[in-house]
Amino acid sequence: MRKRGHVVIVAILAVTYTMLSMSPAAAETTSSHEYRVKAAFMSQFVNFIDGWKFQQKESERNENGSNSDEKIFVGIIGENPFKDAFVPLMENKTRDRKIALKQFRGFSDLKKKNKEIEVHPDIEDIKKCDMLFLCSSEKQYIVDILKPIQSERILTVADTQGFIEQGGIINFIIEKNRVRFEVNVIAAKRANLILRSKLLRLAARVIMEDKLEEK
Amino acid sequence: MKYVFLTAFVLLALLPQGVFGQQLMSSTHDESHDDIYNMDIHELMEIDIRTGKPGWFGTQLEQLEFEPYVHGYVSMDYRSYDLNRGGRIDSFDMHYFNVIVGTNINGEIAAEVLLEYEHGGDDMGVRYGILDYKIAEPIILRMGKFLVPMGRFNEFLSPEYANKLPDRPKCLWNIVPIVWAETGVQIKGEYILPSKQSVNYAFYVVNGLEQSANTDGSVADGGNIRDMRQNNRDGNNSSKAWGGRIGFRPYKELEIGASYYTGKYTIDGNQNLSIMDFHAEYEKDGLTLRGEYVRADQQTSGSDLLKDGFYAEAAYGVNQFFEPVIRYDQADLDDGSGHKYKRSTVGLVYYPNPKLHPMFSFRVGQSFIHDDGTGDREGEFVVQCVIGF
Repeated sequence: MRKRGHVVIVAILAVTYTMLSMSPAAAETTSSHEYRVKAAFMSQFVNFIDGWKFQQKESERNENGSNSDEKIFVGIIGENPFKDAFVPLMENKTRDRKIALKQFRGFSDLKKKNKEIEVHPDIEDIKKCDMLFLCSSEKQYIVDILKPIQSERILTVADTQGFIEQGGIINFIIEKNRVRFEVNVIAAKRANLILRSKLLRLAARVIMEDKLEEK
Repeated sequence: MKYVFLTAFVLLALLPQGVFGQQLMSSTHDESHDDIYNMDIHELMEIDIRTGKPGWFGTQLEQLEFEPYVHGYVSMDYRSYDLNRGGRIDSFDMHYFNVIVGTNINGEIAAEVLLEYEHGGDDMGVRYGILDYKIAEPIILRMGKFLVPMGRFNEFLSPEYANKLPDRPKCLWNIVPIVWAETGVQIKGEYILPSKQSVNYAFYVVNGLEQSANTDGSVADGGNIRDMRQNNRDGNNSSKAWGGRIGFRPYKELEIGASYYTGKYTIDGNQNLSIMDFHAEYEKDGLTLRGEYVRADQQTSGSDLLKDGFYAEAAYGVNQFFEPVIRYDQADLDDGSGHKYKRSTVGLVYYPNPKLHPMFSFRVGQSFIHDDGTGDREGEFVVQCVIGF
């Protein structure tokens, strides 16, 4: 009986060790369940919104009769919580397109190094994105990031309280352990993106004014 | 043996990094990828994201849209003599550090438990744990272990901050055995009459008081009522006790009322115990007058016992800081001694912070024992600091 007890203890130690060996290095590259769900949501948003940059290019190409392998560019600015959550989406097609990921340095980090900086140095690359996720590390600089891109056909997304009030388009929230989202219609309008009514019906909250509009 | 474990752990540590870990990672990872990324937006909205997060039932309940509360009260005493328990003590005492946890949902549903830590943790338990459901405006269904609606003291004055003196009347110790909680169901409520008079009521069915068997297992009767509490589950005599209380307020400052309890108290269910209580309370302009008369009729296999007693108390808040109190209490426990407990107590309550009145106070009480039931007349001096929070 005592022997069996020892075996159990050794087994527990083995499992503990295995778990420990998975972190922190392993954890750094593995996305959480929550962010895999949020990444999946972002790929779904593509189907409920019109006016994307890639749609514009598509119609131009149709006129010219050309065909190219355009991608949907998702930019992530700040400390990326998604880790590898977008990897499967980069392999599959959403709306006949693959998703491509671009990581941008956090504005908060840049500010720490240079307080004078007013516009993100990669702003031209950011403007090429179809979606931009502002990580929670950027919560102090939401308006600074959004202001220069507000009319650029970029779906701005975050999971930071007060994001849509500050001019973002979609903000993830957690309600009853489930991912929900809230929408800023006026910000979408500024970005020339058309939110389908179905998306608005699914939203936990819809607002019609924000800080950028007031300015 | 500890070296065996240590060696096993070290051997495991020497295994190539990630032999198990990477397998685990890849298997869990791939599964969720396949599932999640093929879902439509409606399915995504139904995914519970708790998996892999810390927390348990509390984390689930935290998602509900009402807030729990934590309150409690503390009573620190110095006591020279303990008349109710008997004997000189000369001791400091962390008498109570009781914790109250609960929630109230829109005034319609309430759940509350009082966890009692008495005498520095020597005596711990659940004083009460209730679930209230308001069926209609004047009807509340109360379930669980509740303070028995018997007079005023047991239900409303037993927290030390509500009692103006540092001790309880003897008749409410051995005849109505406060603090007295029973497990069962109750309906209660208050009717406000058009004339602004009000009637409050409570009726209940509970497991009831039960006297333990003798050490040889034979049926015991005629015992101390106080020792019959804590019958949280009927194991012997499963007959139920019942009772109720009616209170009437002819005007808001005065309440008068009567209470009754009856039930079989011996393990064989043959002997009955009935308790009745008449109470009156008047409060106006800083003056408080309280009194209760209690009586218990206790059947035994021999001659029945009749125990009775009363207390009368007066307190007056001379200003926002000081409130002198005087009380007289008496109890006849029909114990064959021919003695009655008789005690007068004077006290002074000091409220250092009027904003916390009456939740925070210092009080001092000096009892003058006219007869402690055996002819002894030793006084009882108590200093107490109380806070409800």
